[in-house]
Amino acid sequence: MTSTPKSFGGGFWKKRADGSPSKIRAVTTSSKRNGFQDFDDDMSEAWSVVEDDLILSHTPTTGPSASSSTGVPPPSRPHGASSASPPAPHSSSSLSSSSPPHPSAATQRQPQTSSSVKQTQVQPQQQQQQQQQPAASSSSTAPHAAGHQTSQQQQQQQQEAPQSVLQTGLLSPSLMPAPPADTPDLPQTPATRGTSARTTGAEQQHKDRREGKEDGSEEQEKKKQQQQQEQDEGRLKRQSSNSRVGVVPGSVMPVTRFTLPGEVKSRAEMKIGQFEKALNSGNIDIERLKRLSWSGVPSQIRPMVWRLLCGYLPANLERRQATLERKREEYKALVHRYYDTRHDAENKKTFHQIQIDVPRTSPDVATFQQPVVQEMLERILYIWAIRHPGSGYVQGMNDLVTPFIAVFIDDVLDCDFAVCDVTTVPPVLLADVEADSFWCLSRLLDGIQDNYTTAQPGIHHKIARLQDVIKRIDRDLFDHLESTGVLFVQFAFRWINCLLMRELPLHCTIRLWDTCLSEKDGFASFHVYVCAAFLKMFSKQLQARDDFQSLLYGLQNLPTSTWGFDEIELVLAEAFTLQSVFDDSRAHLTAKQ
Amino acid sequence: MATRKKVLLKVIILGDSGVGKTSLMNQYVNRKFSNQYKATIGADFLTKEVTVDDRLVTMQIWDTAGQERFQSLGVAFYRGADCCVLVFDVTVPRSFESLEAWRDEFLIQASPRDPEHFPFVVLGNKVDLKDNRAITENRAKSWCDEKGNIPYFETSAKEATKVETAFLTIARAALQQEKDEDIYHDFKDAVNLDDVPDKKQDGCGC
Repeated sequence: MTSTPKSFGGGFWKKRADGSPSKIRAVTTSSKRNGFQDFDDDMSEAWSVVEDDLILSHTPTTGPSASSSTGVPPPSRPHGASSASPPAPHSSSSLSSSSPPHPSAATQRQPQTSSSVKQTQVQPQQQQQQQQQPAASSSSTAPHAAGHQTSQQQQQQQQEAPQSVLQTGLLSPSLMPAPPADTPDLPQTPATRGTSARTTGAEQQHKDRREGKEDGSEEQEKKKQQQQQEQDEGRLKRQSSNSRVGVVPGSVMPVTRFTLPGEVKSRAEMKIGQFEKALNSGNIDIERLKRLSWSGVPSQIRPMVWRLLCGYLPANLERRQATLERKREEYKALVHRYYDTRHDAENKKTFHQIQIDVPRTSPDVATFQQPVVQEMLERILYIWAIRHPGSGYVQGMNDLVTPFIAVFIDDVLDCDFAVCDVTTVPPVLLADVEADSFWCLSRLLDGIQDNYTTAQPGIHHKIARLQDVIKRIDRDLFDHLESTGVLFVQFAFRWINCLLMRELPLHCTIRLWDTCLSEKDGFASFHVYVCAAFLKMFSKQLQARDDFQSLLYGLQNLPTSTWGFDEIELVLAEAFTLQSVFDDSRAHLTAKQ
Repeated sequence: MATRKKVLLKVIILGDSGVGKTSLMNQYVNRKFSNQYKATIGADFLTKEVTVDDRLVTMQIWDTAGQERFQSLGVAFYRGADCCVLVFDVTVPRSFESLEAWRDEFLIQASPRDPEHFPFVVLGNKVDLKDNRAITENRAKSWCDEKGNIPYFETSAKEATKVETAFLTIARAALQQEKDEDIYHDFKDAVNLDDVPDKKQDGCGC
């Protein structure tokens, strides 16, 4: 069906986001198209800074040093990302002035960036050190913590840094974009991935020995099948997927597959290596996994990592496979037991609503228009709704399933998610995707139940908090909104009801969820700061709109269609800063309320 | 009406989920139909400048979410409305039966000064789906008559049937409402002035 080798879960969103320089360059040109001139002009200007830098840093012609310079090891926390704030209009000058205890981000950014550039060439222990720095790991950490950590690292690394920066000579430190979580995969075209899978034979055998024969033999078998895949044998491809999916959660195969031998490791490999370490243990340290995932999960291991972060899969390796099988069976039983009740008088209305919404779920993504996928959506939403009569199905929940389906289905597809015919996937695999999506959605919604109960108190509460945060960090914008008569509820309701999904392209949502799933109360608490950072990002352009109508229209149609990981990571970095500041001085907020 | 101030008309579109509120608004404002609209969450809005009886007016059209759960938002979105458009899908009886509830809900939440005479317009949408038609024109009309002669139009957002005509009527109704509001406003002010001495000499605790 397709001549390209399997893309190992390299989903369309990743490709788009990571894409080649030419893709990134499209940011400026295509942003003009959405009829949002004011924003576009300003934003594309801001992005073009990032863009040039990206092109530079990903230009392969600079040889090995270039590739390692892109290989910024993921900081355990977002200060790496925040270090990257380009001089975009949203840079948080007002924040740093309004939050005295917080170390001025701006002053730290430059050295931090250069040090992380160097870090790729520094010994592994140092990465370990960095990774294990616990300072900024908990959301209640004092604002200093992050700063303290960075400065420590800086001091340590800065001594080694300058040379390498000069050497590579391609990174203007202040312009260095946030280390995009998945950029690591950039140089890895599907073809090279295939090669890497083959070249790692020795290492995999080693792993196999460590992990026991069973996994090893499966791996062997899978490798064989993979070679056959390349000869375009659709059916075998599916079997391969099958075995992969059957094993993914219980083993580390998809992880080891990507470990390349050799001296020079790219950032991708190092990041995967770190994940590998975290995932290999018989009892995964979820906190450590969260620290790693905060700055983005490589797409090929995202399905497994998300299952763990959601709390759907147990940290204990031995229990994992059994749990997975049990939960999948349990879901099947739920469908068997309840799905027929959808036409009963008391459930008719719910199912009718779901049926109306499913066809208009992600209408721009072809996969979600396929009947097989739509039926999955219907079942997931219906079963969830009748098991949660307190809220039932609420519009927007249909959006919230899509990232899970996209991530999990991509794992069993033989071709690109965006163009693949899902009917070619064996039903048994789709059933697993469906069950996993259901349980992960349930976990996610458990944390934000009050968003969807009668009168939606959770949403109104979060809007009030968002308003309060904006009032403190961007008084000018707050006053502007107030003077033009725009209410927060008029734009932010949708932001919170759909967790910003309506405002962002799917690949950005997925990246955002890497972080939110890694945060304690990510969608209930941290997400409000994400909304605040998101709003603040457009502050200048919004303040230029001085009447109610153009302002609200702007707010409801923010120009994010060309966003990639860099932009969303800027938002995340800012959100992290806000959370550090506000959670430490929560008294201010609560006193106000 | 001494001054000819710039007129802004606020129109709210209500109705069950999936009856075509977003499509109607977009057909009217952008003259486009798409079957790719996502479910509206909260409310979206668009504006259009139109000339109604030689007056240039700006219509601010609010397209709301159809699910009942979002009704708590009503106050934020309905306030200050000059006309309310009730939409149902002629192929879905339930959406027609909901009209009454939507009307009541609007009057409660928007609390217009003169609910008895507040202008509504009813649109029976999707008339292009002739084979699936479930609500006859007569049935819809008689409901509208019952509710105080609400204007009724049979529309198709998909084929742009009667959309323009319907919105012109909506704009007229809104404009009339706006004028009435002005008059009411003046009257109210006068009453307020009278109230002032009362307050000064009031001896009760209220």
